[in-house]
Amino acid sequence: MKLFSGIRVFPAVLALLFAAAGAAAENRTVSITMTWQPQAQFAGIYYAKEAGIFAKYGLDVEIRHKTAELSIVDYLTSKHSDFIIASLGTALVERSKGVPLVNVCQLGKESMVMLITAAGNGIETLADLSSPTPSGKPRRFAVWKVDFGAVPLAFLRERKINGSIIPMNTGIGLFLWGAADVICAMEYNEYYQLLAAGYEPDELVCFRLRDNRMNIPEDGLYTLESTQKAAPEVSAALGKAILEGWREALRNPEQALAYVRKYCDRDNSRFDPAHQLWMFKLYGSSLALEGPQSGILQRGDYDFAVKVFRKYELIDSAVDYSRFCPGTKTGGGK
Amino acid sequence: MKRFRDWSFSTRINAVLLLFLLTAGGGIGGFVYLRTYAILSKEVGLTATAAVNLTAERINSAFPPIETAARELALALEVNQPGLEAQKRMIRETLAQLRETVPSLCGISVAYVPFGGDPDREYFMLYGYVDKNGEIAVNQIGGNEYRYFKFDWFTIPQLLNHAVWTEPYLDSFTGTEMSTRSQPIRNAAGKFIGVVGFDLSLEGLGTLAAGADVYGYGQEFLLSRFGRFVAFPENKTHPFETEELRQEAPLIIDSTVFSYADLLKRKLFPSRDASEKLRMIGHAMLAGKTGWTRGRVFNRQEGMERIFYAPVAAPGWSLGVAYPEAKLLAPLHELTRRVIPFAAAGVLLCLFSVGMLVRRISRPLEELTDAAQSIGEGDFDTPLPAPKGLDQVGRLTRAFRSMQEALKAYVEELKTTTEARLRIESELEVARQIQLGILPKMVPPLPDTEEFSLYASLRPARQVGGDLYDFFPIGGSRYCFIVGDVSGKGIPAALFMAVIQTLQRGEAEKIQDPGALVTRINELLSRNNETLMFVTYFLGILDLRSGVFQYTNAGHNPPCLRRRDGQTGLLTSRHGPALGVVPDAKYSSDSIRLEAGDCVVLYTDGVTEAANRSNELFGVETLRRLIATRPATSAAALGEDLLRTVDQFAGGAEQADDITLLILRFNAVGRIPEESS
Repeated sequence: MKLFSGIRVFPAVLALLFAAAGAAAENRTVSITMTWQPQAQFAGIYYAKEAGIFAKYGLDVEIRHKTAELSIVDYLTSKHSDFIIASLGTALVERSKGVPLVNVCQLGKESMVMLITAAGNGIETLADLSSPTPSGKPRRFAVWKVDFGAVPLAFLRERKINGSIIPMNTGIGLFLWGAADVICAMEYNEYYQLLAAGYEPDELVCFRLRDNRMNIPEDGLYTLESTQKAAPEVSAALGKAILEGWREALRNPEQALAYVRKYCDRDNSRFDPAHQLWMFKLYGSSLALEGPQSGILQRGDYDFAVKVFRKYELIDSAVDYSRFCPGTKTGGGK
Repeated sequence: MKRFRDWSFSTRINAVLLLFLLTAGGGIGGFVYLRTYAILSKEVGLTATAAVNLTAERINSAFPPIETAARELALALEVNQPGLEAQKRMIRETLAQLRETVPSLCGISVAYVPFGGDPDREYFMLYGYVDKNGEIAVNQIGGNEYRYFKFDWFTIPQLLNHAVWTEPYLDSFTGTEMSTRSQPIRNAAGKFIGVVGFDLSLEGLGTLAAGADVYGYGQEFLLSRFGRFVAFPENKTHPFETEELRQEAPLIIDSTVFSYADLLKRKLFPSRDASEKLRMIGHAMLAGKTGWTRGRVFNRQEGMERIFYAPVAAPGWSLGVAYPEAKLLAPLHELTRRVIPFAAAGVLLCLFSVGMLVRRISRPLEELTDAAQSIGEGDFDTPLPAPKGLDQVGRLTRAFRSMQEALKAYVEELKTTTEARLRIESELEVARQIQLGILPKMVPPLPDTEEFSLYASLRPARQVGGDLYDFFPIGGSRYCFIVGDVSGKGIPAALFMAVIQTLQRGEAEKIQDPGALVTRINELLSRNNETLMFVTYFLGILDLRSGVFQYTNAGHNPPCLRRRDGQTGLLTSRHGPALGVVPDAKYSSDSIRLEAGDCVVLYTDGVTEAANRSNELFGVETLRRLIATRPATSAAALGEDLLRTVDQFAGGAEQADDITLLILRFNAVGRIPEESS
């Protein structure tokens, strides 16, 4: 009886082992680095990994997160990572510096950047931002130095807003302590942190860049030109998998947040459930996930960003749209 | 549904009693409960506040020595500008010395702005800490992998130009949750060149905070200057009771009190109130206030919590402890739980006792009621309950017994009396029949007499009356007409009347003259009249051949004469007193001649003295005017007309006297005279 059952089971186990080995051999291993520490901004990517969507696309993806010390692009140039999630602003600045990176999939469709100041400081309109403080000093603007800083700087220059710029490296501390008058904020991140520090919404004056003619879309999937040329199908599969990961994540928010928490735990990073829930919903709603244009950086958005960055001297050169977005047959216009 | 007043005695008393007991008991109970609640609240409030204040002070005590040491180290660096080794020594010595009083101190750093500590070095940071062996090590760190001057602990004192306690952070170098006292270092020109950082490990704070939980079931929490949860006691890693909430619990360390309030609203308690309350608590705590408030923070299962808080002044933090209110007030609830069964038993006992008492009172009453019902239905021999005691019910029973006996005797007597009265009434009825039988029935007395028509009526006031009338022929063409009114009423009057009737018919056959006839009747009546009865009496004799009407009036009402042309007058002649009064009285007579169509109306005082409800009398003049104005085509028509008018006048008032009317209408022989208009 025992022998008989062993004989029956053995071929099945063997077949399974072969199948697994075959699948592993087909899956292409790639690494991707997130533009910030673990948080719900990357929930769709975690979801794609954990729910087996990457595997479905034949990918074995290793997810990493940027530390505060390095620029996200450093991860590409140092070959630490095959792909990165970065904002369009960061990518344009780095490309202008000569880093040959390309956009292989666009996630965000609009800007989530805000300028925030405390109510009661004499600031009600954008024009007021240029006015000095009641004590006569210029306003102090805390602006991200790396990655996200280009877009708010372009905005300040376009609106001819004068003030002193303070590099903002580690969150909202400068603003809370009163070391900065105006702070750059992602609506899904720093804005919520201010609310979580005790500010009531009516105690803050907020200016959303997308409402003020500076709607430059943000996160996209980037890689080096060489990587793209070597295996364009991998970039395309990764992009598609991430988009699908996000679609599934938005359909299963509880599961998605559980994955976010898992990655926070893995990287010993804080997980504030209310904040992550807020971020997940808000960031998720800012993505272009449906329709034929999903995943594609729109030519109009690209051209607008290049024009603005050039005008305000954030870049001195830019490549053609088709070179920046090599996977795109036709760039949609706005 | 029965109305309250229709309820039985015992139900009503019990209902009122229950209402009273509940109201009074509820009032007293409520008052005692509220007073006890207030006293207990105050007591636990004082104790919990004292504990949280004391613990906050104890936590706070770690901070000032560090602040002083940091200031002194920065000053020494500024003044002495020591070399690398000297700085290392200073760090080692300060750390060793201070750790004796503040064991949570886990490291000291001296860090400079790029090229600020050494013109040749971009990164210049010394970090002293206790290594795994418990030895103090001082290393030089910083570089591209750790750009220390970008971190808040460095940049904030740089920008603010004064010392701060940083928000709690996870140190990437040591992996420790800490807060740093960052003291600026300035050069001789007063320019910021670096920071002295004293790192305070937060690991021990949770244990220290546990002292605030004076009752042993509270949940302490320490908030940083900007509301971040700093620490929980190590032995209470799960402030929540359910598995679902425990999933969230360890993460609360990563939250602020405000983001946690947001989580309450979104996920944990679907209550906006709890969230708003927690935000209010958070604001009060961050403002450095001491106090307490009610709300729901951690414990969903046990309802409301009381949150006591006090500031940790030096770093601008705040310590709070949340107790389940149910547990804080458990002594009150225990007391209530114990008192309620006693109170309920007391109420039931009271209702039972009163119910028994009411039953003792009401049962004899019910028996009396049944007996009264039975007596009322005629059973006078119904047995009554035996009277017990001298109380009201006993007296009532005795009184009822007396009443029953009296009633029985009375009814017996009534029975006898009623039988007697019925017998008398029966005899009176017979007498009435006899009396009415005496009166002449034939009107007119001779149906074929055309010379006159006659109407006669007697309506007695009682069953047997005292009035009389009579008419009869007395030979030839002469007729006698009589009306009388005997004094008094009833049987004596009737008998007297019967005597008169007998006498007048007998004597009229012998005596033709009215005066002589009346004189004779008076004489006979007066003889042996020991009861002194009398009768007013009018007697007239009509000769049909001549129309002469002779009459004698013995004290009677004057008759009314109506001529054919409607003229009327009273025959006022009086020929003597009423009969039976003066035995030897002599009565004369008068006479008138009647023409065809003339009427003589005889009546008794029952007609003229008929009274209405206002006691007004009908009167002779009214009668006379009536006779004048009413048509007189026949005696009957006039008679019925007159009686109807008298009845209308009386209007239903009781008839006080006999009403007797006799009308004689004279017609010419052989023809009926026409009525003049």
